[in-house]
Amino acid sequence: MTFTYALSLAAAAAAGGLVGSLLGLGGGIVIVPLYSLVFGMPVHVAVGTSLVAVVATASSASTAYLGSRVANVRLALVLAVVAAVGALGGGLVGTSLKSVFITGVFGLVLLVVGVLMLVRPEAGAGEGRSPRPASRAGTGGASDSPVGGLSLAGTYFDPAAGAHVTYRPRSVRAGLALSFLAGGASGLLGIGGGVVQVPVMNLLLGVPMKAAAATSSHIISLTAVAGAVVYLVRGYVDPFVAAVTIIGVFLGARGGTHLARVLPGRSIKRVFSLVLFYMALRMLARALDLGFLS
Amino acid sequence: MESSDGRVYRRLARALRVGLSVSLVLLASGLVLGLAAGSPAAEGPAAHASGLVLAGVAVLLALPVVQAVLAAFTYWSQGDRGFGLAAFGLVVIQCLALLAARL
Repeated sequence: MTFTYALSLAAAAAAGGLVGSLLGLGGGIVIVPLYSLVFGMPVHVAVGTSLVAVVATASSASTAYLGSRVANVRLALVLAVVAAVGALGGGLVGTSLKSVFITGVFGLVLLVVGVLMLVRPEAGAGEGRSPRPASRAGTGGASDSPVGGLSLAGTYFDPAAGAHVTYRPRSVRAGLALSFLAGGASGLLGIGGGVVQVPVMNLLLGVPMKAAAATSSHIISLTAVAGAVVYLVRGYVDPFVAAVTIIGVFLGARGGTHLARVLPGRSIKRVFSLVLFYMALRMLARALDLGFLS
Repeated sequence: MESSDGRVYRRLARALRVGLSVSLVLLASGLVLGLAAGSPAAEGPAAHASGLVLAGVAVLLALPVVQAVLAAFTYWSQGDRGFGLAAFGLVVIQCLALLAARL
């Protein structure tokens, strides 16, 4: 690997980390198309490399969320078991499929995420509202929905509200099924899966947005490895490319976190939805072998 | 409940912090050494660079397993058997991925 190539890969990874952090989607959804379309990497290699970077970024975010105790470790453990099975399945299927199929599915996912960002710019992993008011400490929330007798209620301190927030996840069985799908998407496409996990926890399980985003990071830090290992063992991860990507994404994500505080979120999301549309078009064109577009 | 959760939060955060730092140092050292040595080779500084980068990736990918083992051990030792078993199940799936990938 030459210095110039490493530098350009790191710049692309940093851009992925920055955009992913700004949009609250994680870096994978940007890195895979960038590596595939700009650097001409085989899509399996782009997915495998992205998954290793996802483990790093989710672990880093998880460290902060565990420190502030916003993540619900119990809920994360339960959902992570099925998400890990999904990620393993996604990785095994993904490495067996032809690249054209993964490219096409990725293009469709980009299209859907782009539309969602355009229609509902307030939706994202890092911001939003709780669909139902979370209760203050001790008053409880919606009815608990324990799985196998395990209580999944959570409590965290919200500095903005100046109080402890207590909640009890509901519809956990449906959440388990969707978590499996999120894990599958992660292993298949090299994304974290937060794009599915966060809305599922927030809208379906009634987990407040801050706790949902934190818990999602923790789930991803536990489960993405199941897919990453499959790609690594099957020879789809170049450790040097992965190292450059991890460092680039780290730096980019830090920059994105700072920028997110000063830039207008809705406008940013609308602008970047156009970028996602463009990448979706290129990925779909490549999958459909439309040479003039791909 | 608060007691076992408190320990889990503390242990997981510490393991992640230490593991990530070690992994990043190994990855960065390997990259610098590899770029300084030029193209990858089987011997000399480039071989050390490959070893460092591989070790960095290995430490990184071991972190989720370490997290799950720590959670399983902590919950189980606190008498919270249900969550101990859930965490142990996660360890099994993570290890199974390594075997399944070789099929």
